Amino acid sequence: MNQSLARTLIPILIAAAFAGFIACSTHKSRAPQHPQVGPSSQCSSCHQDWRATLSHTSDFDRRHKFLAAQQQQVCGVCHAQSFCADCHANQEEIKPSDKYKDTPARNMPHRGNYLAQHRIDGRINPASCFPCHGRQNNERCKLCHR
Amino acid sequence: MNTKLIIVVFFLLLVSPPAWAALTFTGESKTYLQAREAINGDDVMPLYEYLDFRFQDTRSKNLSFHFAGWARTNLEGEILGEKTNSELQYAYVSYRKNTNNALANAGRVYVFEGVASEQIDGLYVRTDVGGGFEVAAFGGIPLETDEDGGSGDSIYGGRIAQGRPGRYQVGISYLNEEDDSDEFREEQGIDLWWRLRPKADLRGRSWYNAITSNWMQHNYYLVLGPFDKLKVNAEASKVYYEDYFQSATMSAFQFTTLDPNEIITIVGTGVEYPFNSALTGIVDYKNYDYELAGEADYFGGMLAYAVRDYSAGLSLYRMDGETDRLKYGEYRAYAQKQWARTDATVDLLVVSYDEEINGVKNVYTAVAAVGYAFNAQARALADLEYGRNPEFDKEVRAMVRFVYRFDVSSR
Repeated sequence: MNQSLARTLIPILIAAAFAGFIACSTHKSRAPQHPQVGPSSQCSSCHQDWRATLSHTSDFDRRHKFLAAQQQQVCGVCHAQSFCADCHANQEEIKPSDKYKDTPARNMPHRGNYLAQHRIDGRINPASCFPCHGRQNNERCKLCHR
Repeated sequence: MNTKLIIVVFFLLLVSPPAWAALTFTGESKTYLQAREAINGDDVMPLYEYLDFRFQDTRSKNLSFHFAGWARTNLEGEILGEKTNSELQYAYVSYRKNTNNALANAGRVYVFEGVASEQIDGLYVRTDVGGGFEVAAFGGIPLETDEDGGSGDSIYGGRIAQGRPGRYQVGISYLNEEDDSDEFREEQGIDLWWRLRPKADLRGRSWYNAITSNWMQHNYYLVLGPFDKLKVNAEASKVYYEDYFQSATMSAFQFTTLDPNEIITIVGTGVEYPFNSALTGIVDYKNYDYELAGEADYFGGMLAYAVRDYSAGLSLYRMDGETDRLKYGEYRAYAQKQWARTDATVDLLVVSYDEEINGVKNVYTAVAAVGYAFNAQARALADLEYGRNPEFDKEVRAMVRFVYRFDVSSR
């Protein structure tokens, strides 16, 4: 079997397997949207069980990647997909810190003129830059980094 | 590709009669007008329109269509050599079943599943399958390799996880990507969530590069508490440059710039203590230990105050790298006040470098922003940023934003 045929067949077989699972499924799905989202992003103010760990505490910017990779659907209960797209994009021209100057408590990256600082951050830990700019969202970077 | 994709998703929507029976339309329009000076000294004034919306079948709530994209036209100057630009962020039909959290998204979709954090033109499906197992799979054309048209590009992968709700979950994931029919990425991942006790929560992941046959990174995060309000977090990660940056397409991450033999180990901890319902104190420490380049420490703390209509924060951090070039202090203060319909924000950031950059040691950025809510759906915001930095003696940037929320039901 050649590779292009395999690439076509694999998604079809996976989709067929899922269709089978879905047809036989039994337990109720979680609510697609949170019944009432209040002004607080602290889940622990109502939930005392594991959901309290989803609270958007001061370190949430550092740990939200783990939650998203394991429980993307849980994020979707409160956030529309556009909430992720605001920062995580294939191509984006406005910095998140420019979009959200009215929410200073959120720890948005690249505040102010980031040009000087990026040379230092890039040396300290380039792996922190890579997920957003390594293979995408780097048209502006390429003006100098050709 | 974008046009074809939009035609496909609209066709799928059209041939789904239940979707037209009763629809809920929600979304947001965000308009930004920015004025600033480009690095080459030209004045630029881009006008952006960001639009996102969702149609949902009101009755069953199973079928929905999601769209987001932006377009820019410059009233003055150019950005990246172009007067205009646009991007389709996502556009997909979603079918969600009422059982087993089963979901299928088709179109331009986001995929966050273990080792995959991707935007693709294709299909994403996931479901629970009993016994605490859940499976997800995706396949299509990756956006990140579309610079040369996307011909011969492909991506597929998936994740299988097993867990007990509220206690633990262990997942394994796989991703295979080709660029112009050439091997580009083949990555495998293990991810873990373990709620050891009600007050101990461990999350982490290890990624393996199957092309270089070595680990790319390990990254684990532990949260302990609260113990009488005190919360402690600890973080440990290790990144192997040769394997982590193997698929970089930007020269700053390629091995002409980075040393492939470098390995960085990062350990850090943070303590958060709410003195009362309004005031919280945070202390952080992080150590960067390089195989080749020595060490660096980042440490500091902040105070955050927040009540219903007022918030403020003060933070002081210090980076101590091996050389003066990697040493600086970072100081920030902000405050925000809200009245009935109006809010005002001030934000001051100072970075003090030990070694001058372009003759500048202290970098300042001051921001003032005023927002006004016309009603629950419409809000305007204007901000002015003033700065002094190694690139500009005096940098002034201004932006006006208007946000309008749609919320319409056809029945």
